[in-house]
Amino acid sequence: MRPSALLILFVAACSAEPAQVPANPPPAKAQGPLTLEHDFGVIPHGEIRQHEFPLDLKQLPEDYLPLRVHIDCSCGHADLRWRTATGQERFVDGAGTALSRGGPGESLVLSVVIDSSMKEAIDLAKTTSRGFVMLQLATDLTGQSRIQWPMLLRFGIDAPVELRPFAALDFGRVPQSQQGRLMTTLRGDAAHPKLRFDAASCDHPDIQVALEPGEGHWVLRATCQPRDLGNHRALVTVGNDLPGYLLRLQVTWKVVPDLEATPLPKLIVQAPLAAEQPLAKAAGQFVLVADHDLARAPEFAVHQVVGDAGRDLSPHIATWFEPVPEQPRQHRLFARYLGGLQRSERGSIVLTKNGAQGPFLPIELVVFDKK
Amino acid sequence: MKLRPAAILPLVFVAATLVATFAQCGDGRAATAPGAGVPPMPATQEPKPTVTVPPKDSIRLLVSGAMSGRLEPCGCASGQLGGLARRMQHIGEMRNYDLLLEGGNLVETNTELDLMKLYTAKSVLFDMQHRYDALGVGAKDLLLPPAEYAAFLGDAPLVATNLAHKTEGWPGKPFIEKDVRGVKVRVVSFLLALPKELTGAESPVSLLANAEAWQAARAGADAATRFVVMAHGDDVQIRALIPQLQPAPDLVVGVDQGYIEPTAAATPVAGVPLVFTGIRGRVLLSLSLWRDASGPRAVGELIPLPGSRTVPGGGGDPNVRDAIVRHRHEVKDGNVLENMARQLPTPNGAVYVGSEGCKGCHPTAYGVWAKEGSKHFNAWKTLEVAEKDPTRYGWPVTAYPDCVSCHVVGHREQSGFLSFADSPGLAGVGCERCHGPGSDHVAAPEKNRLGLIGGVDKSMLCIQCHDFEQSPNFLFGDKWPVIQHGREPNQIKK
Repeated sequence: MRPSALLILFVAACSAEPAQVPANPPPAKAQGPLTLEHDFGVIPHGEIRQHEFPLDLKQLPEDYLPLRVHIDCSCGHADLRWRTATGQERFVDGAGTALSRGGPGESLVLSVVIDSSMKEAIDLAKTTSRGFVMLQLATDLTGQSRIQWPMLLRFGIDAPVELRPFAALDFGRVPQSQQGRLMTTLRGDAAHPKLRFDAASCDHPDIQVALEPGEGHWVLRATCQPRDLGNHRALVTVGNDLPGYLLRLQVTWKVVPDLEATPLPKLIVQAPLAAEQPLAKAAGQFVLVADHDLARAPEFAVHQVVGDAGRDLSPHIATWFEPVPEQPRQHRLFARYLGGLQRSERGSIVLTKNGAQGPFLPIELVVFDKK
Repeated sequence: MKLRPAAILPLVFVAATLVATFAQCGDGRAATAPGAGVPPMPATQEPKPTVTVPPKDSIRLLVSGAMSGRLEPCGCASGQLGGLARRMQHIGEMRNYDLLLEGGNLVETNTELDLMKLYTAKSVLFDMQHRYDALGVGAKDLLLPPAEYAAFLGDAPLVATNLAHKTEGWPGKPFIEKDVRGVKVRVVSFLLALPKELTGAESPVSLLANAEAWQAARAGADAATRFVVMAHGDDVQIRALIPQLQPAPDLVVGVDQGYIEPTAAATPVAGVPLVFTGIRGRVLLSLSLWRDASGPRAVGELIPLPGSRTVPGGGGDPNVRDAIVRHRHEVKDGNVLENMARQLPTPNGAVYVGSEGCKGCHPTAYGVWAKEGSKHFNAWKTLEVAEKDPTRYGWPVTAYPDCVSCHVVGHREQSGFLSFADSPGLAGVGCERCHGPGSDHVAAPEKNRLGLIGGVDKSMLCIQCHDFEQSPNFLFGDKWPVIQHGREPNQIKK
């Protein structure tokens, strides 16, 4: 077999192409020493399945070294190990050197783990996933003669619960002065119609959860009380009467300040500095600003437009606000170049809620000479 | 085989970003040692890797690389990993890192769209709350217009140790240095081969000798300074580079476009821990780096970046998501799809005629293609439906070139798809997507026969779109019968 033969095998293993008459059932796939194919069945959500393929490189017509393995499915993990008769193992390190070759008494094992707990508690219909083992000709040190030994994995995931509408709770942006609230419903699936849930808890003090019975389902309510700015992640656990199963839902949120510029506090004005910028050219030069504090009016005022060296840039930069439809707490802050600068400038537009008293929202300003 | 859930539950669910694979960077042979005299390990027994706990003062790095223009997964299939929003969400949650490193190759090609992606990626990586400390330069980055590249990244910590660039104001630096709790860490970046487009005498870029560039990057450093090398090339080139770097660095991060699936295990090469970033920004690599009596040491954790199937948009940092959505709208507002259209020659030099032009002589084939439920026939409609579903996208999918390219005929090629209004006959995956433009064939069918574009194997054509991410369940053997149409009965030679 030539080096390309395994590539052909790859196509063949993935195909059974000669099915000229689609109505006919596909021919049974031949199992042989070169076939890497395994059906994990339908995995109950939360459980792990492992399978090991013994790889006999001597079946190959030429001397190949194992390098690494790849599987497509996102909840799987695979690795290659040389294992002795006594069970001692070492991982294949991908170097393609003498260390990649099996020693006396060592046999090569491809281990594949499907970890259904990495998935949300949602059913996954039986699916086929691909992968391959990368091999390199032992005589080739250039990496140009590598081949892929194909692998097929089949599995499905069966979650005993139905979560609607969310199997994970993402509060998104939570301003400091507000609370985030989310709700989802839980019930046993068709195979577990009498599944009962008892208590819900979260491993983060900023997330409060409550479980209450509804009509034919349970309602899980989660409240986010923001504290530290930035991104956060937590886990909500829901007990139930299914032995060995604990329902988990991920929770994510980002605490943002009440005065916020999105997507980032930066405004770039690109224009030839020799002339005033036409109004139409400034249509895309905006940043969204918001005051999330409901106790205040949503409007901002421009406090100053200033360069890094403290220079007043307001004669050169016009600024104005426009409301955002259906977003009463947001405005678009536009900037337009009025002329008069000799070179590109950096500085900031400082917005204020109450004159010199603040609070302030600084927005980085870059005036870029677009020649 | 089945592992007992009760035994694994405490271990397996550390949020969605588990898979913590620890491995030590020692002699490369240590993995497990169940004990002498133990019979062969039964298949149900999970091996026990030797866990090395890094010292508290180790340097903690978060590393990624080879984003290849994937600001976020396209969303064609569930289970796709990666995306800047998910990445930055994780980075925001991890408050104990010292350095954020991005290997480079931020884009895949050098189109107007790639420049816009570069700008968005730059905004996310360097203008938001969690600013990256260093960005390497990959071969694909160099294919972008150098003036724009330099302008966009002028204030970014761009490191290109062995690159000499003639462009005025080229922002690449030989190294980036950061003080981490009193220890200096220098980050350098090597490009091990120029793209072929830049190898000629007129090229504005040239590569310096690795050893000399390394010495220049080490200049002025004391013995305590840690060196992290980002290396762009294939794994063979990267392994060959490491012995050339003397004194040896503390860590080499390989950015290999062919290395899809990284592992957290650092492989020692000439005593230097070597890790790979993987591709498309699918994972984040969390590394701890320190020195002991045996030399530099590194342990790592692989953080896959999955999305939620029920959270609209899949989740991730909301500000980054906003930035990406804004990018999508700017692509639409800038007519980028149409700007990029019809720039390239067609594969056979002919002109696209649309599937209706094939119907007359190939009614059977047309019927197979246009039958009810045909995904290829409805490929454009699929995009339109997705665009209107706020839980899936919420941005103009039908105006985004990366999405459109797999749902039309002749994207970017002369006479190919321009817009649905201009070329409705080329919307969807029609006959000419596989067979090439048909004008010459229509004019003289016997003389100008059409096969498959480029004469490639059928399965190779399919995976241009149905790749491991966009169609993870795609098996040619299963799908071929669905689209197989054969020749018309009157065209089969007896």
